[in-house]
Amino acid sequence: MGRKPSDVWQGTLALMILKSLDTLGAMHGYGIARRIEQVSSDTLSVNYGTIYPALLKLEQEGAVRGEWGLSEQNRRARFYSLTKAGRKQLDEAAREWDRTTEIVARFFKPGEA
Amino acid sequence: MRTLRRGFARVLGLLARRRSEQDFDDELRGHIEMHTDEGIRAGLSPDEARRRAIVALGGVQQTREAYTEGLTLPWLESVLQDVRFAVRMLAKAPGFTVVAVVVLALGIGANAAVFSLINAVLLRPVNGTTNGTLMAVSIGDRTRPGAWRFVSYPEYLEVRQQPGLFRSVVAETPAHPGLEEAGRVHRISARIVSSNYFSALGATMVVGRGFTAAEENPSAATPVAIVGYPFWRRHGFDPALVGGSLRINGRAFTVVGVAPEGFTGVLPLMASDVWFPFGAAGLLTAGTSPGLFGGVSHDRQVQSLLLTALLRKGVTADVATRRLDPLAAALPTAVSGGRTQIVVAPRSRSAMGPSPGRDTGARAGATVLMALTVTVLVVACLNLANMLLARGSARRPEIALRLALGGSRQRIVRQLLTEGLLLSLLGGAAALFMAWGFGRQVTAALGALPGSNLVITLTPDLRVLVAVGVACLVSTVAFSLGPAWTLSKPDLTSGLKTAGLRGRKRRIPVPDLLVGGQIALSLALLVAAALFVRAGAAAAIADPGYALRDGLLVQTDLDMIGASPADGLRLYGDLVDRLRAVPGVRAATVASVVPFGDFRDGRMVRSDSTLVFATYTVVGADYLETLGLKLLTGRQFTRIEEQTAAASPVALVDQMLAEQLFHGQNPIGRVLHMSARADHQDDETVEIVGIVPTLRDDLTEGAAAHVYVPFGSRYRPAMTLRIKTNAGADTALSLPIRNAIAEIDRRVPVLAIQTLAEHRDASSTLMALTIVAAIFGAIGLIALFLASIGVYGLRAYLVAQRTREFGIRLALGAPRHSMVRQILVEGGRIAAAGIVVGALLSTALTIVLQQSGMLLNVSPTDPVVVIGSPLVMILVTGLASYIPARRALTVEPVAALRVE
Repeated sequence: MGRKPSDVWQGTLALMILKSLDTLGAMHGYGIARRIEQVSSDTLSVNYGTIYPALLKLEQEGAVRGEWGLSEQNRRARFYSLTKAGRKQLDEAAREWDRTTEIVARFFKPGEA
Repeated sequence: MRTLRRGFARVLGLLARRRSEQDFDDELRGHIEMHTDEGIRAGLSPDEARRRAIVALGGVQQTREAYTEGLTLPWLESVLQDVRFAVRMLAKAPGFTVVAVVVLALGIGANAAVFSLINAVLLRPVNGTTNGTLMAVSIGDRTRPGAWRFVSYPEYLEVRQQPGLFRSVVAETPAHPGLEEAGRVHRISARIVSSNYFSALGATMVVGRGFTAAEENPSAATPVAIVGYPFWRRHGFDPALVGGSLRINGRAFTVVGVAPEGFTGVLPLMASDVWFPFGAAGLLTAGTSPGLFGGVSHDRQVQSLLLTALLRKGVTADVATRRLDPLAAALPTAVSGGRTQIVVAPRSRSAMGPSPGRDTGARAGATVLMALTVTVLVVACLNLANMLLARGSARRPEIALRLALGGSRQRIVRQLLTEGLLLSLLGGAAALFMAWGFGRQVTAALGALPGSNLVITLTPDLRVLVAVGVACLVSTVAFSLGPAWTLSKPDLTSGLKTAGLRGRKRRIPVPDLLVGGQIALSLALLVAAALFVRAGAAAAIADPGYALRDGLLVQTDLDMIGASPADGLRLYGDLVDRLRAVPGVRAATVASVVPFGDFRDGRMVRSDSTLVFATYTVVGADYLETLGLKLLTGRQFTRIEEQTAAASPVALVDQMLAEQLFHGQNPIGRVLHMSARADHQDDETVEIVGIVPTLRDDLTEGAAAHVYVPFGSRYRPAMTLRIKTNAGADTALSLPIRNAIAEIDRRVPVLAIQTLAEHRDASSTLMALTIVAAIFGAIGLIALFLASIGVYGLRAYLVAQRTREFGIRLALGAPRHSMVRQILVEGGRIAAAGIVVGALLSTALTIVLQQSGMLLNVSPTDPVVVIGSPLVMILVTGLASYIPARRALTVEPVAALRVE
């Protein structure tokens, strides 16, 4: 089975969610979506809705934990936070990412290859 | 791992889905509210802010769907939907559901019960022996197929010492010694075994040790024993049991170990209470006459062992047999002059004998029984298919609607199959329950047998569960695929129209074919069942050639009090003399063979050149009087011959043996040579002194040739005292007889005291025949019941379908009885066709049963069966058609016309 583009997106999105939670601490879905949008400087424009299946998947995998709470404007919202397993997953993914980008970067360094 | 965890979460999500969805709706609402709040703060109108929030989200419904898809497993979801719908449909028609489940439970249950029996006898692994196939090593006469004998200890050693063939060879012989507990002696089931018996079969003692090589020496006289786990349990797991002593056959035996739970030795169906080493054999019995079990000796003439081997890796049974040829050639030739052979073949699970049996009888029986019960299931499936078709036509509008609304045919077939599977599983569950109940019944019946050491484990195990599962699946496909396919035909318009007035213009409608098939198969089953039931009944009333009334049997065994042959002979003499003096006793004697018993003693009997097989019985004086029979010629044994070793050995023969040996010449004064062993010279040479009538002492076979020798010269420790009482006095005399025995010697163990009729009724052969007859009887009744349900169901359905037509006809002035007649005629035609086909089928089946030798005591053309079965079938199907037909009589024309 070939990898569909959505798989790549889902994988990347999961990583971005984990990183955002790592930075922000506990956050609700809307906040995470906004954060991703801001960090990518609005270059990444996707439906906010796609974040929820990704969050569900992470929750089912045990990487994040959801709890009901109140937002800044006193709206009932579900706050997600990283679990121990999620932090491990994030660390692994970050290392993997560093290595990948390093290798790929070498190929694109001028004067080599 | 992560995927696994997720899958688990999704399955869980499926079960608790409503709450999670509600939860997500709340979360989504929060999301939109927060986004809207921000829009409003940025200066948008609330409506616009909300619109933009939803757009940014990508749509509420879309998000929800994407989420719920991740929440559960979609395919499982739709299966569950089918199941939920199926449950609703079945709950909506409880009558149909109950009948369908009962039909299936009977069909599958018959199979489950029979399979659990076959499983117990032929399939369950031999306990404690997980290390390879057990092989029987048998010694026989090469020129006489079927002539196999037990093995002597020296021969066993020679086989065991063959290099390169066996991992191990074990030997054993059964014994039934008396255990003294709380002042009473009772018979236990034991085996005398080689010292490697437990280790070779992979059993480690729970407590204590196995036997040592020194204890194997037959002349060692080592009073040690190993007890079985159940025995230990009965003694409350007493830790002092090991190292303590048991009083067996009048002697103290030290218990050295406890065998593991479930260990039955090489025969999975027979349990032992106690095991002894060969060194204990001489301590257990005083009688070592040829042909008797229990004796183990360095003497090659004492042949009592049963050999079981585990082959070395890479050695096949054929190779082992061939490599044993030189050893066989070195053994003495058989009595017929033929060479001796040694054969290695898989050990029989069901029989304890010297022949290399392959359970062919049991396997053939199992095949026939299984074939019959599978036929019952086929009948049940035909029945169900018909019910589903009938019900399906009521559901046509629903199905047509679903098709019209775009439901795929595949999905509808799947839905109908799900309903079928649900019915099967309900039926299967009930079937397991039935099999369990059946198992308990049979176990209880076997447990009621005195002295039975049969181990038949009938509790359903994994194999039974799998078999029932397979039966459920296969029958689901068998009964529901056809109707599902027919009903889901995308015939859009006709189904939407009101059903009822459709013409049925096929030459033989499918439902009629199905019912006809049921009748035919059921009749065949009924005939087979009836034959076996008749056989069982015939055995139960079998005439042994003498009257059973006023006969008493007392079983005893003087080995149990450790009597020497001389003491034993004297004691038996005193006992019969005392019994003859008891008021009300007409005659008393001793006999070595219990009639209808499990054991029979046989001899090859030769006179000049004629060699025949005869049942061999040791008896005292007055033997014929205790049977109520008359001597034909010559004389019987005298009291002297009964109680002392005679100088010149004598014998009585029955008419059948006299005829076989002497063809009408006078046998008195002729000499007979007898041998218990296939390979040895004569054991006994006797002169015939009298001729007695022929009788039978086996329930399944006819009369057999008999030879009788006097007790005085052939002492045996275990004998039966046979007593003939005055008319009607048998039960009343059992106490005086008990007292008389105690008067002679209090220690004499009375193992059983029964009237002849009681004894016959308690015989294990009769029990087996009764169980078989009960199983077949149940199969026959189930078949009959299923056929009647099938006929009734179809007729009732057709009558209901035609209520409108009947109403019209009644309104037009047709007489009611013409309609009843029409229904009966239609039903009768199908029944007649079914019965004709069924008669042909049952003839074929009877021929098969006859050929395979399974019909005992009954003629395949038994008039009761041949005429009775079709009559019963006609009666039952007639009644099953008549009841619904009567309903046509009650049709109210006006009401019927309104039926819609």
